[in-house]
Amino acid sequence: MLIVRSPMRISLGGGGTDLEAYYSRYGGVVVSTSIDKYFYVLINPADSRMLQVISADYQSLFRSPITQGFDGKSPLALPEAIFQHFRVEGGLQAFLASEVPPGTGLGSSSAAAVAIIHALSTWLKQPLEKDQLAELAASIEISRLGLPIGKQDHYASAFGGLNMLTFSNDGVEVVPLQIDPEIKLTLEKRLMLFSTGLSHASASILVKQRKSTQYQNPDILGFLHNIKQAALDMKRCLERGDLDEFARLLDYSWQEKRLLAPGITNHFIDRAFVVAGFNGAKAGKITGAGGGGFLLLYCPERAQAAVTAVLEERGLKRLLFQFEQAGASVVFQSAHEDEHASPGPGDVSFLRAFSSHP
Amino acid sequence: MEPITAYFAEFEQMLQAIELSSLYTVFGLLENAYCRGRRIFIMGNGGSAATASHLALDLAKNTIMPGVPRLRAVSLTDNVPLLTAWSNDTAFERVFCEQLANILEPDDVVIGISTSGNSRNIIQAFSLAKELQAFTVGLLGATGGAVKNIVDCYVLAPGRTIEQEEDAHLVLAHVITRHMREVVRAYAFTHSSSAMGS
Repeated sequence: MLIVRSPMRISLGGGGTDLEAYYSRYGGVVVSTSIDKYFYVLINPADSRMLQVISADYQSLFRSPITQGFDGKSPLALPEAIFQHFRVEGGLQAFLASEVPPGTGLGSSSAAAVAIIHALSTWLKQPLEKDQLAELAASIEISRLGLPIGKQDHYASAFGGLNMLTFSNDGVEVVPLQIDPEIKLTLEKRLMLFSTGLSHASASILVKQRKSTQYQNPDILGFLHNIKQAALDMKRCLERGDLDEFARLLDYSWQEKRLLAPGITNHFIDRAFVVAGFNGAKAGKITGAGGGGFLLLYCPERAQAAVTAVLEERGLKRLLFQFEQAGASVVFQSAHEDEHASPGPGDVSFLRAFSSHP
Repeated sequence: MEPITAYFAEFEQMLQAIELSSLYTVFGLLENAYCRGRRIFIMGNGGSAATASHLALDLAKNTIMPGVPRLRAVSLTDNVPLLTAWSNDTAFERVFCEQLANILEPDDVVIGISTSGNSRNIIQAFSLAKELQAFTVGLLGATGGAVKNIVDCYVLAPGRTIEQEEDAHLVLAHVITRHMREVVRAYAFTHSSSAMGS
């Protein structure tokens, strides 16, 4: 048995500049950190004719042969595409589970892509470096499945940690922030995540954004240039320990981002920001492309109880988290994996411990 | 202490006790409304009705910059025929919400001025505003009353008497106006500089 996981991320600044339509001309910059919420992949050997993939989040599964009905549209299009890439048609069962539901703006679909690729490459003994892992995950999601997303999530998940990511036609560079451990701890304590309960429609928002960038809409370009500059400034102020300035930049980026495309914000989100700010939060943004998902707040410790109370009263739910460092990693690998001993087709009893519906 | 001096001293003390962070939240809300072309409706009873009219006037007239959109501020306290019609035909507590029902749209802002925070016509107007997805702001007295718990944000004027709280509300009206004038000016500046392509 093999268990692999890859973390979700929160993007602190620069989101949108990781879209190729932007970075291919101007270069992109993102500051993000991975957090201790993961996408898990569990692989067990099976009969060589047997391929079974079970997703807890979509409550669906596919079995071999996978060519049947592959249209890139099913909820399992992503694992299907990855299995096809590795030409795996049998011999294993895979169980996929996410700690955070899909569509919440924490980069869960990219964490899924990275985790599944890491699991399969480990299983097949074709080890990949972290950058190869991220690049392959990005190319499958963007080129193969045609998703209008950027590359930041794949790199954030594969590498882990608090990084500045730079994007250009020459590739992606991952630069860990040189931040004082005390400051990092304070930052971690002051960042709060709240689920809005709304699933965001990142694809539709990002399509609008990509089109605007491609057509060189001067307003949108201006916003993206500003967002990039804020991300660069954010790195510098975190490295010199200026968290007040960080909060200001976070707020500034959000004010710019909400102008990028209609639908990034809505009344429910705006009202949540108003009451959070009224109760002491200093800055905030919507994670991911926007329209729903998670509210990220920067909030001094003394105001956190009041902010939590007033947001939970309005139906939001706090998600406690910590930063994480490891990125994509193997959690468990049984010693007898070489034997690929089959538990027999259809035997998924090992899944029970992980399933939310036993 | 001599009564006039005492009044001044208490007034000054009250101004010092006003929470600036709550005022900044109100600023943020009004800035958003302006940048998105949303409207601001203002209401109050008695002396606060006069302040509502005064704030609407200041926002509408004293923030204008040539070449950029003007603030869209309206008082709900000035149409005497409509106020008396609703009051006479239904109840006085309907006078504001019935006016809003005709015109309020999502993301508009409704400001209620009330020293007690318990005026029923203001509470009913805020309930409707919430239903219609508008933002709600209270300019309130020392305790905030019931309104405190239903609005998105509020500013308390912790005076010793209603007179002082009403004084404070007028000061707040002017502070809000001065801030919004700066916002409109900043908007005009960014607007014209981008038009020149710099």
